[in-house]
Amino acid sequence: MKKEKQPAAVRRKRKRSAEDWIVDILAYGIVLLLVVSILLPFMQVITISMSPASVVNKTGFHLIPTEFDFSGYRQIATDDNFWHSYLVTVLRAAAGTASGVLVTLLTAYPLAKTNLPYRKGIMMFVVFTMYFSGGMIPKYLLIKNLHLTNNFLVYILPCLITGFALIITRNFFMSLPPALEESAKIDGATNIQVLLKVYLPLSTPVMATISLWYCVHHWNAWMDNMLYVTKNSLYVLQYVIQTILANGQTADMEMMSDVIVHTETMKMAALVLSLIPIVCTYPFLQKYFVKGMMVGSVKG
Amino acid sequence: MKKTYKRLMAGMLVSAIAITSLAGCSSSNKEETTKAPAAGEAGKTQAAKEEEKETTAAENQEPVTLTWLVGETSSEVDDNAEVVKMIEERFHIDMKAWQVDAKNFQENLNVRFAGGEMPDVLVVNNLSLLPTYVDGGIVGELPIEVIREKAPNYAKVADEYDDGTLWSTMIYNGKNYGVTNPMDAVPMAMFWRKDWLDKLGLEVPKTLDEYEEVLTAFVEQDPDGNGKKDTAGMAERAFNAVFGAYGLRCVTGGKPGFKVEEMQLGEDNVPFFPYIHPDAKLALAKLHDWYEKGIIDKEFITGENHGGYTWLSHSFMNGRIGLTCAQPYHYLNTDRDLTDEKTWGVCMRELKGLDPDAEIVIGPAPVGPDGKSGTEGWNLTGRLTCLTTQAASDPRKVDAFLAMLDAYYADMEYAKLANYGLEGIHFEQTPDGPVRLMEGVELRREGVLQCDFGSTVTFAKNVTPEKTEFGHKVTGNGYYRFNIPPVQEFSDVIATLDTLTEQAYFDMITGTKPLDYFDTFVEEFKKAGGEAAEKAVQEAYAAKVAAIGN
Amino acid sequence: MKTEKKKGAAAPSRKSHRGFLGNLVYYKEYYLMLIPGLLFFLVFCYGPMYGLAIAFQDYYPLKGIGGSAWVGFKHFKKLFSDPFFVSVLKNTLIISFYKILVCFPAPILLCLALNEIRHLRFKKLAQSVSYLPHFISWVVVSGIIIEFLSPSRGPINILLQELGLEPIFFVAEPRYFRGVLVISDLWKSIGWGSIVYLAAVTGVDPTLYEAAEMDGAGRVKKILHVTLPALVPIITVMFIMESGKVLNDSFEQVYNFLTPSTYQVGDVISTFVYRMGIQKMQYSFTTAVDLFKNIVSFILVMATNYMARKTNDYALW
Repeated sequence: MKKEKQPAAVRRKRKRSAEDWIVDILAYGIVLLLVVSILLPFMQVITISMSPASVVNKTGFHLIPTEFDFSGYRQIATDDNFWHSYLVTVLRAAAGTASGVLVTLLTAYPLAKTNLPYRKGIMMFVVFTMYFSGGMIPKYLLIKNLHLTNNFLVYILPCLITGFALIITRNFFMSLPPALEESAKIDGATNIQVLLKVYLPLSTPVMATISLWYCVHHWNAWMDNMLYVTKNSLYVLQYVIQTILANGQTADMEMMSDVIVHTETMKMAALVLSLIPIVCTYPFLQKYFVKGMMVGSVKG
Repeated sequence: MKKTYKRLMAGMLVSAIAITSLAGCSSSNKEETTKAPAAGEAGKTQAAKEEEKETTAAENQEPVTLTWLVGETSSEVDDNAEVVKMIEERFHIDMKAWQVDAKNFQENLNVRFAGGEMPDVLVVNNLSLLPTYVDGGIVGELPIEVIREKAPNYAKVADEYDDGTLWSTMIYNGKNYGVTNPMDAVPMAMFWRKDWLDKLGLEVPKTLDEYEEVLTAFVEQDPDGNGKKDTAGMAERAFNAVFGAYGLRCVTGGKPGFKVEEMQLGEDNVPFFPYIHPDAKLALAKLHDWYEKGIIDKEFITGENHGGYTWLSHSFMNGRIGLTCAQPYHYLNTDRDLTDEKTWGVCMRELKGLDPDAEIVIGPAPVGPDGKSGTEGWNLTGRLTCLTTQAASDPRKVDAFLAMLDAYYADMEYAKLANYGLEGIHFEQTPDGPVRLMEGVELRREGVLQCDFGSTVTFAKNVTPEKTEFGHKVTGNGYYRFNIPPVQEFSDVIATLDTLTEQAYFDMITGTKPLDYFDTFVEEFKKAGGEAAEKAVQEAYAAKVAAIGN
Repeated sequence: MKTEKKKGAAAPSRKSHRGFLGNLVYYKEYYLMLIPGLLFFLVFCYGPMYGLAIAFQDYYPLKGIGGSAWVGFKHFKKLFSDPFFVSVLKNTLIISFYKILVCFPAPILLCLALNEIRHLRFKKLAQSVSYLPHFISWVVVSGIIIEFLSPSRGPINILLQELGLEPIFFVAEPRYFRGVLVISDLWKSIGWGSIVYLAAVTGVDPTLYEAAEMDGAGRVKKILHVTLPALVPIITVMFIMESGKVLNDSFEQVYNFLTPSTYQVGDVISTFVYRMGIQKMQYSFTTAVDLFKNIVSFILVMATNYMARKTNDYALW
């Protein structure tokens, strides 16, 4: 698309119609408005994360830090468990995303075949799980019986894939022209080869999408840590942050104890610290959203 | 359509097979886990018990494990922490603590229970949970005779402060489950902006009428001197003092609203819902009047606190209102010298950080037309601590627990260790009593506040005498929290009553509904089950009082 | 997907010839690929499914499902007979309806707008920025928004006062409360939601744009006749899924904005159930409420799916 659009833009430069102007104004207007409306509150988050309490507690907006106080970052980053849990989370996100995408592709591909018998029944089987679940207790018992507690796999297996990602992938596959597969089959390709050689190269946008979903899910998950893992060496980042923030923060009057008050500063610092990697991943995935991939495949 | 159905059926069939096959294996799992408690306190716990007995026989010197769950935000203890080691050595135990997330506390607790896990010691926040815990086989019996025998120092204090119901609080179906503690509860204090009062040449008010005068001046006479009429008198945290002036207990809670689930114990020793009391209409009339006059900040609806520590009042800190309500220690540990930072509480430090010129003074709660006054206070009988069935069936655990309880009442050095930790590391001893050190320590992880019993009367008198004395000096009458005996009629309708009341109260204060709506509201409240609930609680409470009288 | 019907017509006859086992053998490669995924759903989703029985019990965790007493529809009756149930259900439905009306099309619009932007750097930056709010929790977002809408300090109200108008307490006024919920949800979800559409847009055959240009189509026409039609399948799928969320209000969001002043318009099922749980362990009751919500969701998804099939051939299954 990038390739195609460039000459079109050049051509248009000669004569821009009123329509071009209107579309541009609308498109740029909408996007600009959104970007500003998001950046401003976000700057507040960043400012608070590096400001002393006196700034944080002042009502009104704090878009640019005026006084600096990195105690929030210091408190969190000096926690022994913090960096280790960072590593565990990176591993978890990588392994979880890779296995999730792989299994999603394997499952979505056959289900995209319109001639596969029992396909609709299987789809129902999947969709049903998106709306009904047995709840926390039976799941906990299951995981205990499978001996997954205090096991790294507990971060991967019980949330391997989601029905939603599966459906989106399947739909993407279905939108690909069937002619591609037919011609490959004529060349003697097996089903696996069709998936790997024909579908996969065409599926970068959808793979980028579901990778992002899985990755973000794994990055943010901490309930499974709390429920199933008690070993410190397996703690994930978000859980460590939760415990740091929760430690000593109680509104209970009966406790009668002037325990540590974790300020907003610290919360925001935790938020910023945990956000950095996930924000950095996006630009890498982004190129798959922009590249037009049909071009090459049609030629081949 | 037919073929769709066929496919559908096929799919269903697959899932049905799946379900049955899994149900097969899961039901066997279930049996394993459920058989245990089904056979009373036998089953799994018994197996565990036997195992333990064997080990205790084999290695009698091994310390017994005692797992605590005190607060909603406990964290696991670090086994190498000094405080943990000291406590473990003293009671010959291996101390552990559960970490349960506060946000979904009950849910997470249930999951652990279902998995057959339980702590040994469990603090019950709300008495209404006791029947569920007992019936569910989680909380075990702890006979009063055993408590009296193994924790004589505790029993002595409890007897001394018994209001007639202390020993009956934890009784359910004729058996005792756990211990309660006689607490030193300080009522809420009224904090004024002293610099505002001084600027306008006003004295700290004492009566409700004087309150109105001063608060009106805060609205009209520009106390912050910025030339704009942008100040109000108070917001929702001071509501409880206005109700107190009419003899009623009112709790507004951390999030703006009214805690209807907390009843009041009348002077005749009969519990009632303060929110439908006829005098509540007078308090509401006053609040509505003040709202109209601008005395009550219009933004009380979204609350004085804008996030962060619950007891911070951002409206107060930012000079929008000149009166707020909090525990004395939130702002001050003493009034010896207000310029000394060491005497400042958490909220005071934040206030000074924001506005170094801000000064505060604590005043008395307003006296109403009938001479009544007072503010909200927490339980006098509180920190309801139970032993689980797992611990109750192990005599060594019972002994260790009761020894820890007794020590908290008998040995003030220990009590200080459990609550405040080590001097120089976790707290600093000042002329005004111990002050917690905030920087660089993780109290809970290092074993502090993991096995304490809170600010009990002995603790308050001996460990923090300065703070206690000061707290009571600056506050007056307290409307203390009442431990509602658990009854079905009450817990079934309380959410409905809560919604009904909060809605009606906010509407009447802001004038969305006229004050006369109060009578309609009371009718609705009673009809929605409020009357039956009140009656059931009264009967249950009377029965409790009578039972201990015999 | 368009071809589904045509091909589907041939399939059953073949299938009936081969029979169940025959099919399994004939399509064995496909079924082998399905094994890991289906095994996952079977073990981790259907495995704990027996827990739904808790909704019909007075469940005690330690006693388990086998040991707890069966109470039939007691918890459902309790929910339906509550005097606030009707108003709470109504609020939930109205807020969901508004959200579908506003928050569902918004990411599509954003996707189209992004697609029209030719400065690649700006486009990339805008995309990265747009999905940031997804990561901030509602506690933080609501704090910022309440401050932004404050009648005394909020920029909007300062503007209103400059114009000689009375300030409006948006968050506390029943009239504006649902609007606040919808707009804040829009702000938080629009960027994240647009990702799936952006992925679909990349699948559009560029030759189609060229062909349209040859025919003298302007940019509006290209959007309407090339880009949008390419998005229809994914829009349909997303809409079917969205229709299932009608009763699944966002607790975190509503709870952080809700005050007693706005109960009458903003109290939804989850916030009300939360208040019911203050007093007691309500495991069975909450399971029953969830089951009720999920049954409704499932029926709605089935119905929407059916209608989608009837009208435009695109559907989930």
